[in-house]
Amino acid sequence: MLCEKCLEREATIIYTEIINGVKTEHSLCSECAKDMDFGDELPFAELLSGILGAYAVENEKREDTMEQVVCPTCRMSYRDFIRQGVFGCEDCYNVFEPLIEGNIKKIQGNSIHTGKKPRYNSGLNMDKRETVQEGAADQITILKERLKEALEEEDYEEAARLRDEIRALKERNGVDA
Amino acid sequence: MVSMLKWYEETGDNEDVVISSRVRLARNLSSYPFPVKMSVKQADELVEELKNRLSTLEEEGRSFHYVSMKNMSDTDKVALVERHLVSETLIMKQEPAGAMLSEDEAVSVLLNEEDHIRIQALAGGMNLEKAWRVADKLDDDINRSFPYAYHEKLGYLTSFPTNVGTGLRASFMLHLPAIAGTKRLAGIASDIGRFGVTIRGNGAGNLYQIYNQKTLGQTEQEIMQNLTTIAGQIIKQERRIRRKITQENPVGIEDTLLRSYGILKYCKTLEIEEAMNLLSDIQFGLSSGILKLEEQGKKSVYPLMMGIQPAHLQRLAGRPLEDEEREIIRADYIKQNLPEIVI
Repeated sequence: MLCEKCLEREATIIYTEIINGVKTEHSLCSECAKDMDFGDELPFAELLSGILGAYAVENEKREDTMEQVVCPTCRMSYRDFIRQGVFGCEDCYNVFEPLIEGNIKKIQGNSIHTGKKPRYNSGLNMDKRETVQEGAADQITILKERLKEALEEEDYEEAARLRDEIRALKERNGVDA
Repeated sequence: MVSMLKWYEETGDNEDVVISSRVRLARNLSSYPFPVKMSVKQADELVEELKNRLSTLEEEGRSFHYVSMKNMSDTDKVALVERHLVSETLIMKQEPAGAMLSEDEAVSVLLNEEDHIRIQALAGGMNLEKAWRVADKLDDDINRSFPYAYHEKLGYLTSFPTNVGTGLRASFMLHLPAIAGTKRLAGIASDIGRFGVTIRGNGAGNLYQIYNQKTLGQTEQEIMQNLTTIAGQIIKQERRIRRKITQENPVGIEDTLLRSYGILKYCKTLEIEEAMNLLSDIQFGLSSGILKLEEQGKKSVYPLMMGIQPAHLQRLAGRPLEDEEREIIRADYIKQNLPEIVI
């Protein structure tokens, strides 16, 4: 098979891209693959396992441990998650999201939802176990994330505001964060 | 009872370029695993539960009817895709799946596609607000009965990380004969890409869809505003080129469009690609005023573009068709449905 980019050299790499659930296979020669733009922080070796798995390839040892990770709710394994690029249930987000770290941000350009919230969710969740303290801890996590972003964007005014807000929240709730 | 106008029979803004506006929301119920990890039994239960609840819904006077993917012929399924009522993904599903469709074809709710629920609302012309209003309200009404999978930080949780957050994909269907005809599409695609907007289309009938790529980090209003602004720029450019080519050679353009009309009116067989291109000429002629309708009516042949798709013609004939036969039926169908113009 010829490389789809240069149409000259033999393709040696098959790169599977999953966008929106649509799987596309790209056949590339190693020369062209090197030149492809897969985002600024993704060196060549990482593209093989696709954007989601990028973090794992960085550290093979870590990948071995990750192989053991399975979502307790739906039994989705880390390997399947990376291969299919799909979450198996809502709890998968808590299981895999920390493992893939900034990759949602890489796909979305952002990691904090600012839009609509479900208007009727709370009244329906009868098994709401969340305590006030846990709620505050969540809030702090979100604010910390925003703080990190503000710093990255060098928006120091916003960063200072967020830092004060985090401090105030911690004091109010006595959360050790 | 007066039957409701279909969305494509209503008029909307900037219709010379914008065929339709669409809003799609991806949602999952908190009580089930996502479709990829659901058992057939669970999928069955989910679809039943949603179907029963949704069949009692009525939105702005719309009533819904349910179509199950299991009991439907392939032709009927493909025809729904040709009308943009359901997705290709839905009709390929082996597991229980279906859709609630509104009578005016403006609203559909896909059940157990890539996500448990995909709410889709369409409006004619440039009118994302209208589509959003319908989808937003339907979303709340469903949520009243079913808690959604939602994360404080990441928003609405979806099967694919590309939909997480708002779960919103807003889009416009644009008719761009002048931009496409002067080979400016590639430039536009890369320009709008920088603003997180993507263009898609196979070139048939010069119809292209633009939509937001990212779903997280912006509010729904911001996403729709951004897309509307970008669409506005594309509309301006399309109009500018249309004006230019018309001014440069008015007789030549009129001649081309009338020839296209003549072929559609009098030929005996028509391939899909040729038919779409000729209808694109008529759409351009009507929307720019170069061709005038004999009777008052909506200046659009978009419904004809849907009607000549393969599965539509097969349904019309009521039996499987060979290519040649289909081309004859297509030409005949166009002849009967092409609006009369002032010559």
